[in-house]
Formats: sequence, structure tokens, C-alpha cells
Amino acid sequence: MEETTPTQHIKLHSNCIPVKGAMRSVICDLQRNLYIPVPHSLIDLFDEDSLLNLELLETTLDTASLQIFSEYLHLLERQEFVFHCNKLEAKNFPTINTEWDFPSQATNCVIDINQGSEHDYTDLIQNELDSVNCHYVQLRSFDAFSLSFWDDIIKIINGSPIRSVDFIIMDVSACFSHKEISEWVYSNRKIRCVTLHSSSENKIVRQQNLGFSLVLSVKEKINSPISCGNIHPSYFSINVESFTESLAHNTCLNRKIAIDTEGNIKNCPSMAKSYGNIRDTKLIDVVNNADFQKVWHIKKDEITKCKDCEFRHICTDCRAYIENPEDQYSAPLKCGYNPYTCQWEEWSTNPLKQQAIEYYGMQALVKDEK
Amino acid sequence: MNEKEIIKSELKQLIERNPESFPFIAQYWEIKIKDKTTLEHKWLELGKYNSKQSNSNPFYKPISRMIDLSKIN
Amino acid sequence: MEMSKSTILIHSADFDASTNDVLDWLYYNPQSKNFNIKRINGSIGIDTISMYISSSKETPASVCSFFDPNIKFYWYRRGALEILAPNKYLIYSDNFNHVTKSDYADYNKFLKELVPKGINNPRDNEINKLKVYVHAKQCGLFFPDTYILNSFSDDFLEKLKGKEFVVKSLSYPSISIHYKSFEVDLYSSTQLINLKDVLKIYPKTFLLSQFQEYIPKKYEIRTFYLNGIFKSMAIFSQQNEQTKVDFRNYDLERPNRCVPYNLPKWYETKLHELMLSLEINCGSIDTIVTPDDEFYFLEINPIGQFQWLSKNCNYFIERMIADALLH
Repeated sequence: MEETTPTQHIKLHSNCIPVKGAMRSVICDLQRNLYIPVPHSLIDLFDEDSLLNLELLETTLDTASLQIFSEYLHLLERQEFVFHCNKLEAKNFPTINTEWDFPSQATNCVIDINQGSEHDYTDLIQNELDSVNCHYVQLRSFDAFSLSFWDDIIKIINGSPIRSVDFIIMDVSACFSHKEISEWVYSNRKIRCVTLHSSSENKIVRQQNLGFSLVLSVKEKINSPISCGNIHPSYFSINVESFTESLAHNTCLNRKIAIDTEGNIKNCPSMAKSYGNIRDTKLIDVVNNADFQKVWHIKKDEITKCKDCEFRHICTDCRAYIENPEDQYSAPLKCGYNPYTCQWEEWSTNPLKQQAIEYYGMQALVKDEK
Repeated sequence: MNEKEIIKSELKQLIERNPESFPFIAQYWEIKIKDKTTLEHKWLELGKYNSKQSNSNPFYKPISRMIDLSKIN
Repeated sequence: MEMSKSTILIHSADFDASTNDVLDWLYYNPQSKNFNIKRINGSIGIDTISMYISSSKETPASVCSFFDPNIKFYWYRRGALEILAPNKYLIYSDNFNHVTKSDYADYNKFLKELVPKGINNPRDNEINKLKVYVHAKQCGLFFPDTYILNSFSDDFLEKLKGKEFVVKSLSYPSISIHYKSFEVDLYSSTQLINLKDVLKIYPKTFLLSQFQEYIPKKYEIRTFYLNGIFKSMAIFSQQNEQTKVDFRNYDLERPNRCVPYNLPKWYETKLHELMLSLEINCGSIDTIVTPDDEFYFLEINPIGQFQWLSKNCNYFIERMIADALLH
């Protein structure tokens, strides 16, 4: 048998994608949902086919660089970001398809609720959300409601095509105990997460199981949509769907639909523009409205700061609260990351953001948080 | 020995003593006795999809980001 | 007069998540409004039926009353399809009962010829491994030497000398049984054996089992096939001791690296030929690539899982199937 070609190359797996920021790169492992920061110089060693010739490298790098490289090679191997191969077989490993598509006219929906809300949940869930094939819902409430109020809603959801639902609800011991809410979550298994706000302590009330049935309590008071739009590594979404979506669409607003406390249909409850009220407007008509779709196409590569950020394809954007409200391509207001120094800083005290904080009337919120 | 382990060893013996009644791989079978409580399983239904699922999938990204996670931990 | 809509009939099981994923794409496609989408789950026992054939030119070759003529497309995914036979005969005659049973079996087989065109057919489930390999050999594919045995032949023991074989159950990797009011899962990952193991256990006879020559692998390829289109994924299971022999030993913490892969054209051509000769238009195909870059065909699963392949490689296989159902 003929001698096999020596495996003198390493190739980056096609779902481990390097993204270059201003100062450094990250390798996004879209299969195992993690990222690792690496220097640009490591990424630059790979050619356009994500191949690196190890033999050639040994003749071109000096001893000190080789030493550093061997440490990084060890990291790449340990993470299984690369595999050893010969140049011929590498051709059988194409890049991953970067198309984003989803079988829903609206992929996700936010419904805001307060004491004054008059939403018809049956019509909303059974007819309206179904008409846009929306299967992922988040209900956010700013006032106290009884458990039976939530139970009526979950009963409608349980019999519907909805796959998963999140609740953000006010923690009021007069309405329900943590034990009651945990049992309720356990017996309604489409619930991904219940976050209890205005609570006495920050804690995990009930551990998640296979990504569902999580109950959290937080001290933070959530009394309006103004609390939204936080940017934090824990909110990063490192998977094929998010990554490909971010290449061509806005990562927060694309195919999102929102219903504010008054029933107004919007891109996001935090945004001003309403496209009609659910009392008399069909969701499908709003979703098909070209004007409504405009914000769907604001990509990370077009946004100030984000376009220089190595996290841009794993981070969800915010277009409702931005650094310069006059410029729809300015950076998310609540992002404290500086891609030019690679440091996370406190956004609310940044002097450059004070004007926007005032513009959105966030002074109280910002003070409250400290 | 608890009830589950008794059942397990019974089945093991059954297979060992009657190899002719089992495929060869049975010698290597792992035996897992399910908890009785999981038997009364609550299925997830999906309306017009006419389906019963034992679990569901979450959305692939956060739907909104209301909690300031930098203030927790 | 309102035209009656054509039907897309999906025969599946209620727990099958891939059916839901395909339905997502069907409902999302505005064209689906022109169809009546019907999902039936589980085993279909047909109680009233008439199969009809006529030499008259006006009637189709043969018709079966069970299948509504409006059914434009039939996607078979799960479950059985059969004409209900009585479980008790009024006349107790071995002869009569035997003939009746074999008549039913015969027409149940023929019934599958009459199902409307579409993706897969209940008979696809009935293929056995050796038959597949007979066809694979004709197509010039390599596959591991395979024995189906209920006792150890001298020939097999001879073959086993100095070699390792993979033992499998014939069809299901796991079975669930009821035992003394308990629900029990019996399962085994693919097991490697050598001569020593066999001599140690050495039962005289056992139920029909599969023994297959162990082929060392560089990586394993899982392919989804639909009407000549191939969507493949490489699974790097070799790094991971736990999943070396069978990648179904999932390592949840650290799943095997799964990436898109293009099979060489010559190999796809042979597989395509194989699928045509078996008359199976859709399925999952397993292949091993050896450290010497040889391609070993392992098996076809006509109703295999494609969800993880589609997701890992961003292939949109569910959309492909929905498009095929709508044309």
C-alpha cells in the first residue's frame, strides 16, 4: 500500500470561527458554545482555507516565537478547535454555510404587562402569534399579579404551538411563595425561566433542568422597559443561529415583535414608534410592513464600536438605547466594553454617555443601581 | 440491596443462564431501571402540530435583557 | 364550485421532533395554504379497504381506497401500516388460519406498493443489512466483513484470530421492556470483542446477532440523502476515548466535534447508485474514513435522525424536506 500523505497541516474546524477585534481576536466555538480570546498573530498564521502548514512554520519562526506558538497549538488542540490533516483531505472540509433563516415571520415576541393592560391573551396566543408562526415568547410584568393570573396564561400556552416561554414577574409574597412558584414551573414545562424582580435577595430559587424550569430572584426593581438593553458576557449567544444572523441582520430586533403594556405593536417595547394596537391591527400586517422591517437590517459591522469589537457576532445588540440617539448606527448605550483596551468598564458613569442617559430619562434607574 | 438492584441482578442472571434466548450483545447489556415516578410523564403538546414531546427547546438567544447581570454575583 | 385542496400526508409518531421541525417550514411557507396538511401518528391499522385494478385505460394502474385520491404527497417517517387481521378466527383450523395470515402478510406487503408517491415508504424499514451489503457490493463499495450468526461457526472463529469484531444487536441499539412492574432499558453501545472474549462466554446458541470486522477510523461521516442530494457531516469521535467505537456513546459535556463535510464525488456516485438500486429515496448513511483515507460504507437508516446533522452544519434539511413536500 502506498504511503499516506503526511499530516503536516492543521485546519481550524469550520464551526470554530475567528473574529478579529481592534486589539485581539476571539475564536467562537459555535458547537460547544464558548469563546477563547487569542492574539491576531495566531489567526494570521492560518491561510484563507483555515490551514496552517506546521512544517513550513518551523522554518519561518524564530525559537522564541515557536515556543509561544507551541503553547497556543496546545490550547487549540485541547479545545479541539483544529485537527491535523493533509492538504488533500482538507479540501473535503468546506466552510460552514453562513445563511440565516428561520421558519417564522416573527421568531420571538415580548409582551409587556402592567395593571392597566387589557391584552386578550387567548386571541394573542392562539390566533395572532400563530399567524406569524411565533413560538418563543417572553412576558414581562411591572406590577404585582396573582399566580392564578399567570396560570390562566400558561394554560393557553400549554395547548398552543409555543415551544418556550419566559416570565419576568414581580416577587410579592402576598401573591405566591417561592415554593408555590417552583411547583408551578415544574408542572408547566414550556417555562424556560421565571425571573422574580423586586425580590429580597439575588438567588437561584430553582435550578434549571435541560435548559428549562429555571427560577431566579433578583433585588432589582423592574418597573418599565427602561431596564432593558443590558450588555454583559452572560448574555452572549454563541451558536450557529446567532452568529449567522448577526452577519446579515440586527441581532436583537430581526423578526422580533413586541406588544407594550398598552397593546401597541412595536419592534421593541423600549422604542417609541407604534405600528398599531393589537385591538385592531393584525400582527401579520405589521410584520410584513417594510417600514417595520427597516431596523432588522442594522448589522454589527455597521455600528460604531461594535464593528471593532471581537464579540460582535456573539453579542445581542440594543437599538432602543444608544450612545447618540440622533445616530441610529451609534453603539448600545448600556455596553461598558471597550474593544480598544479590551476592558469592561461601568457604562453608567462614563462621562460620554451622560447626555444619552438624560435623553432617555435613565438618571433614576442609574442611581438606583448603585 | 434496594428494589432496583434486586431487579437488576435478577435480569443479569436471567441473561447469563439463558444465553440462547438473547442476542449475543445481551452479555454486555447495561440495565437501567427507570424511576417509577417518571412513568407518569406529562407530555408537552403543540396544538395543530399533533405532537407529544417529552421536552422542548429554548430560543437560541436572549429575547430581552432586563436584568443587569453586572450587579449580580 | 370550490376546488378541493390536495393533501400532504405525514405518517409519523407523536414524539418525533423532526416532524415538528418540517411542519414549521411547511406552515411558514405561504404555498402551504393551498394544501391540506395532515399528520397521522403511530401504527395505522386499516379496517376497511378495497384494492382495485382494472384493465380499462381510464383507471390508474391500481388504486387503494384507504389513500384518498387527494393525497398528493406522502411522507413516511415512522409507524406501521397494515390491514387489520382478526386476532381470533371463528373457524379453528390450522390450515385456514395459516392461509389467512399469509394472505394478509402478502397483501400488506403489496399495499406498500400502492402508497402515494413521496418521501420514504413503510417498506423501507424492512430492508436488512445483508441485503443492503449485497447491493453495496454490486455498486463497488467497501464495507466491513459481516456475519449474522446464531452460533459460532468454525469459519467465524478462524476469522476472529488476531482480529477484533464489533458486536451489535440486529436492529435497535436499545430496547425497553416491562419487568415486574418496572420499566427497564436494556442497551449497549457497540461492543468490541476478540477471540478470547468469545471463548470465555461461548454460548452454544443465541438469537441472531451481527458481528462486524472492526475498521479503525479517522473520522465517521453521517450523510443525509434525499433524491440524489447529499448533506454530510464529519464526526471526530476518535479523540474521545469514550466514543471511540460508537459515537452514540454521547459525551454531553463535550460533544464530538461535528463539522460539514463533502464526500468525494466518486463515493457519492456509488452511494446514489446503491440508493437507486434499493429504491429508497431518503435516508441517513454512515461511512467510516480510515487513517489510510479509505471509505467504508457502514449502513443506511431510512428513517434516521437528521436534526443534529442539520443543526451542526447549518444545512436546513427540514426546509429541504418541506420544499420537497410542496414541490
